[in-house]
Amino acid sequence: MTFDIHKLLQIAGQIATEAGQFGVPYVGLAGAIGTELDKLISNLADAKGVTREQVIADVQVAGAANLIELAKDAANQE
Amino acid sequence: MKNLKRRLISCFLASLLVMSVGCKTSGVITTPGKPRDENLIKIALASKDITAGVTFGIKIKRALLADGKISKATSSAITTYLTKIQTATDELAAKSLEFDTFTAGKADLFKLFTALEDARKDLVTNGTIPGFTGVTAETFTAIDAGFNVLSPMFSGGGQ
Repeated sequence: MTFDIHKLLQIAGQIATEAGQFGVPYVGLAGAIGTELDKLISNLADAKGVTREQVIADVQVAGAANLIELAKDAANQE
Repeated sequence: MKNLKRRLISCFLASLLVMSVGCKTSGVITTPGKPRDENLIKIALASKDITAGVTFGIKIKRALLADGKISKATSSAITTYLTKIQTATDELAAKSLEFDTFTAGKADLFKLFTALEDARKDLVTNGTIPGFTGVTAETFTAIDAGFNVLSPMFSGGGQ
């Protein structure tokens, strides 16, 4: 089972938007739901997080891909 | 009108929620046996943001060139600036891995941050596409998200 943080954020955004239509008290409630979801996401991330070494390894892969694409563009534009 | 205001407030709250998650370092755990250093984690996450900004910048640049909305010369200049930013980001990220604490590596990391800052200034000053500031601003926003995290860390220089 995979955890999709972006899907959860999307749902949180929808909750806030829908609740907002029913008045200011509900907007406050939606904000509270958002805050609690935020804490939940942080706790989940802590429980199953990545190390900074892994973050940088991802950056290096994405960075290398960017540099290859930029080199292609530079070659094509000459 | 009242309904619109409510919708705007709720959208703002939703945006805040997304932004607050993006700025946190709590999703990053520490390798067993190593000390946790929030600033080094911030450098890793900021590098990720900046790299994502460069990826987006490449796509936008290509789309505008294909549509004939920018000249080859402008596209070529942006390619140069984005290459400098990505290279400097890679160097900063790689160097940060050599240290277990930010304090121990601050002087070395500051030099690389300065190179990155210069590359960003070049892009912002010379890489803006006339008439498409809204589009390029998105690229800069992604890149600036990383800078907004890094700048306070180096505000006192490398000492």
